[in-house]
Amino acid sequence: MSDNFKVVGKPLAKVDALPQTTGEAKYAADFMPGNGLFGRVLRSPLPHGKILNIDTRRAERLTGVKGVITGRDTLGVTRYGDEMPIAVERVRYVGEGVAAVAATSEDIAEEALDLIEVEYEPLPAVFDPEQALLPDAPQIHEEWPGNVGLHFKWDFGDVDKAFAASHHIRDDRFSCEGVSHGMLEPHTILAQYDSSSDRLTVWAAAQAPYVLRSNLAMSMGLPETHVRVIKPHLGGGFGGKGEIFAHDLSAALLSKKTGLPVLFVITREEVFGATRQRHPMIHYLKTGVDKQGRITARYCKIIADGGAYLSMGKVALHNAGQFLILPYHLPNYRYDGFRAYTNNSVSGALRGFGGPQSFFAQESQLDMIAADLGMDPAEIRLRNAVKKGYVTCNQQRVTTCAFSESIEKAVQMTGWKTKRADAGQGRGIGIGCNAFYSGAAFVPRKLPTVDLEIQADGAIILRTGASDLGQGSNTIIAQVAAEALGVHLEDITVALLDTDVCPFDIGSFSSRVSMFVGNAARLAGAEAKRIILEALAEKFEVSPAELSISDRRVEITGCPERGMSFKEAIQTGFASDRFPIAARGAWNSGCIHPNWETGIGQVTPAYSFGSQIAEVEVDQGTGQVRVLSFTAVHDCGTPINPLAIEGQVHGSIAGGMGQALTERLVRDRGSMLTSSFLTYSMPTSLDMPMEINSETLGEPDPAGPFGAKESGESLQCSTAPAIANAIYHAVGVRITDLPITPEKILAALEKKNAQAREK
Amino acid sequence: MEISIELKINGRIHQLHAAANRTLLEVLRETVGLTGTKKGCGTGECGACTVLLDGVPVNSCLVLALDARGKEITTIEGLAVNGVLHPLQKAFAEHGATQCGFCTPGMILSGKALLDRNPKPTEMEVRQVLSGNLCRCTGYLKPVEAILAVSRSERDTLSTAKEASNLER
Repeated sequence: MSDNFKVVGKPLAKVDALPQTTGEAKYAADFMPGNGLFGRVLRSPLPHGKILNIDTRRAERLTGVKGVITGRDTLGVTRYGDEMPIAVERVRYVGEGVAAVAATSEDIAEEALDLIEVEYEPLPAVFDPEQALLPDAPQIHEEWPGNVGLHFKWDFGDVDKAFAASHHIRDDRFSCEGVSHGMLEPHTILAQYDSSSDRLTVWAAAQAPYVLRSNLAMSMGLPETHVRVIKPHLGGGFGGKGEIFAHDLSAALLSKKTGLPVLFVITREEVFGATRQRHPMIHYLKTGVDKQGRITARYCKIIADGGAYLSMGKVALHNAGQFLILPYHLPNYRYDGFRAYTNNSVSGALRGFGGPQSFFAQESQLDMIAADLGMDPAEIRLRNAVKKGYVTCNQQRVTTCAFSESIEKAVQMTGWKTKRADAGQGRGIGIGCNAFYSGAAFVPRKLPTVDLEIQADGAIILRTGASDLGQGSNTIIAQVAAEALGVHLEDITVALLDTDVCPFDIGSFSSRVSMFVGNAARLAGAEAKRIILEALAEKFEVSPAELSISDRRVEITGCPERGMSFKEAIQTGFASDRFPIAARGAWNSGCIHPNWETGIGQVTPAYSFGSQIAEVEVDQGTGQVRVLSFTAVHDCGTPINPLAIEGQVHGSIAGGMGQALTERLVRDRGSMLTSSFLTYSMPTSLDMPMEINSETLGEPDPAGPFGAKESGESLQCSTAPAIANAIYHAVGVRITDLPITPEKILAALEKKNAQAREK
Repeated sequence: MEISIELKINGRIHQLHAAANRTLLEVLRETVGLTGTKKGCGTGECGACTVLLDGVPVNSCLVLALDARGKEITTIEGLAVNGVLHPLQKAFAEHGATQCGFCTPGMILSGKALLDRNPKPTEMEVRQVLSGNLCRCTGYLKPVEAILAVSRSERDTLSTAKEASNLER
């Protein structure tokens, strides 16, 4: 299929890779001018309290301090849902911003924080989401009695009847602890306010620059067009840089107050404790099957620890419910999703966004059911796997689907059957599967848009508001545009993301950019081609249908001798007053914003599917797990860039391994104890398996640009369950709460051995 | 209190004024303007600020600028010679070893230090030296692959040169 493509489907290096290797790639902090001030946020030491008074006078008098602000200095809109970027009357977690300073050096800014006196009245706090839902728990928000921030109640089919008719039912509890994004670049913003034009310019590490623009405008009391967001190179996001934070607004307010540029690079401690985390979730998952192992019904109650504020909680809770419906046939399903407020730091978006927790639960339980029935885990998956054309119980249509094929391929690549037969010797093999959105229609208001501009010398500039976080979306978008226009990737320059000149995009999340912005790029490329061919047809006195552009050549049907290079055609075919040639593509997915209350809505144009197999070795003396190899087979439709997809696979496996085995955010009464890379243990090069084999398969999806589907978050959804299932295969213990630490394995082995002795 | 410090960075002598408690990372970024060296944590845990001191990789956030006096400091900006990229730079780009790129300068410098002292490392030796450079995007396999590819191609170039000189004899 991809043989016909000239650019799509090729393992091309990222368009911005070289400057990243020379130090020339500029990140937000690198734009700090010589006269810039350094900002710091003062944060709440209490998990819950009333702010009685803030006295900033001593801090203001410190030499080198140029400005101090509190939440009361906020202009315009002060609230985002239930949260203020800078607290005014009440703090609800340790680390919540209450004031900020700008000074001539970081040291002075730090010292100034100590001089701000905040008088608090401590309030009772609650940290466990299940306790938070009890009747006598401390109340965190007056508007949300019982600390029930969200409750989704969905019901499809006849769950009770189906359970009654089931051959076998399992009812298990699974849980996942909080996990951090772990991006290497801390959250960063440099703000410069210009009083003469009343405009604010920021250089920001923003995953959703247009969202930041809109939020900054609201909080500064400015029209959106008076805020310019420039998004240079960005050092990783993973869902963590998509919202407005205290430091963002502080930078803007302090620049306005001081008249100087103000830089905030938050500390690593702040990244861990004062931004966002993956929702810790408890799944009470009940699944019924018939004699053949086919799923008949499912009920799941989820209790998510939302932390102190809503953030993106709706989406996470929706997705957690949604991802229990695929990739298997499920005719009857009931979901009770609760998101409890607690006095922990806030839960938000993180790669997989509700998916990893639910896939851990359902993929672990499917193996448990297979063991109960004496079935092979791959076989039970094949029996339940959905196929092309399937419509889920909540009316989601599956367009293309090579899920079964992905299981079969992974099984074949790993020698699964032989290795499964060899159980319990400390080495094990396990499978985990997934399905994921190719972008979700959570923000239907405006269309993703891509602009192409062709200049008189034939140079092509591509402008997009989609934020490349490092995953290579600029490259993917440019590859699609190049294919559609008929040029090469290196012919296109992707412009620096600047909201003053780049068209709208809502942001990089829900694995949407390849599908949504990719389609906009395809349309822009096609439109540019149409304009060029029309003009050339006039010039060469042929009909546009007789002209073609491909592989950076313009050809005239039947006259190969009159063919010419794309550049030559542009330079000779257009009068100078017709430049620049401008083409715009905007794409409407036609998807429906999900109904949070009912769980119905075609959330995504296309689902990706995949299967992963882990091989592990468990040291039964120490409980240490070593992941020996990993195999990932992914139905992503047409792979636009196999090199980038491999990178996504490897990174997802690293992140998924961390969540499976070592990563957890630990707090003591709301104070983060794991607030450094030493205490929060992310995989290093030595932890990675020696072998990762990945393959893509599947047919081109009709919705995707040249048939492409998602290739981002799905890949991290099945990593942890594949490892958990492999551990069970290796040593016969089932750990249902992540991370699977050596302590948990040893305790489970001890229990298992004691039971064996009793018998 | 500011003091004057003489540092040799990428082969050039810089006469600088900086407070005595300034780290090498801060001086490189803020005083000299070499922003290719990144700050990921400031506490010596992530390796994003790796530079070479007399060829040895260090976390520049843990080194006082004062203590770098009299040493050859190499930052990522000093790797390309007369506009010709170091083979590791090309290899990282071609092998997809960069994603967000924030850990890349540190990784490349760790890789260079390794290849300079051990041109034929094993995969485990490469993984060992990269274990001080955290990365959340790539899962490390492609950076390891890039370093090994350079090691292989340089070995090939060397052995070809050797064979050629043998033939001449």
